[in-house]
Amino acid sequence: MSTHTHAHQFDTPQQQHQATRLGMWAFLITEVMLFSGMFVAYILYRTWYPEAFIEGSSHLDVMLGTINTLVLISSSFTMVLAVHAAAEGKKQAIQKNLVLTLVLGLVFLGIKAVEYSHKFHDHLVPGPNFAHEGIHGGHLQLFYSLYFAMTGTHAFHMIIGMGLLVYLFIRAGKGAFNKDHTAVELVGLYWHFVDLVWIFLFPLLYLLGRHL
Amino acid sequence: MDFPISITLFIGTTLMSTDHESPLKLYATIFGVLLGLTGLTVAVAYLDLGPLNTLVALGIASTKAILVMFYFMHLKGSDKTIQVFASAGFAWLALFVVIFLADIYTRTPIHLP
Repeated sequence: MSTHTHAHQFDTPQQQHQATRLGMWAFLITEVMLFSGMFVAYILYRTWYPEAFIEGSSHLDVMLGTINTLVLISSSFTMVLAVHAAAEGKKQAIQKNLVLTLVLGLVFLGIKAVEYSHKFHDHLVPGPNFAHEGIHGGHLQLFYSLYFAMTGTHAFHMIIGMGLLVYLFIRAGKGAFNKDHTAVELVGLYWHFVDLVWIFLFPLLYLLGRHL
Repeated sequence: MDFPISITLFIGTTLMSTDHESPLKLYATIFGVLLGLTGLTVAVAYLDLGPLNTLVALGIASTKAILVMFYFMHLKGSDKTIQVFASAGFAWLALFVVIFLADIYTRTPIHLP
């Protein structure tokens, strides 16, 4: 356990550490609430317009979605290795795993950008340029509105997470986590949460109706 | 939700009992299981199970989520307060979904004279 000094409102460093992690979990619960609004909207419209949702899903690239899922899970693994290295005070291992996590995050966003540009090219982005020949046109826009809102909010969280990784990398270079690695732990919790959201987004958006 | 949790605990305790030394081996195994479950969920999506397709997909996703939370986010072995916070969050999510759908699907249109 860390031996650093603690803020005056805490009795012990351990208590400070526990309170900090609890605070992070409380924040993550508010993030659950943010995303759950979109998930519930998805559930409602999918039960109302199942054919349109299956049609919309069939235009998504399962291969790219699967690769991105594997990339994100790998980034969670390197993140947990970074937290482990921080707990053991291994500066080089922290930095190596932070860079790996960052690179995997970039790969994820790169693939996402390719997918988005395909959607623009195919006129599948909701709005005046949306064009689709089929009976589900209007309801298909609902699916794509949810697709862009959910994956967009998720990608935005990843961009914030990658900023935090850069911050940790710089701080680790200055040896900031030798005594107290709480910051690495908290960013780790955040990064895993972002992974959790994708774990549900992937089957709900990409995989429905594949058996038809 | 009960089934994914019991599977996860089974995987976890089996690993824990064989390896007390380093959590790295545990992390690597969880990572492997997560990759395997991703392959499984894609494969199952191409089988026609009727309405079960969605349930199986959500079951696998929940199992993955619980693995990540228990072992990568260290929810297992965390303080009880943190466990209560996390549980409350997901209990709230369940209430949100159930009450929302109950409201939508039990309303009948009112026909004014």
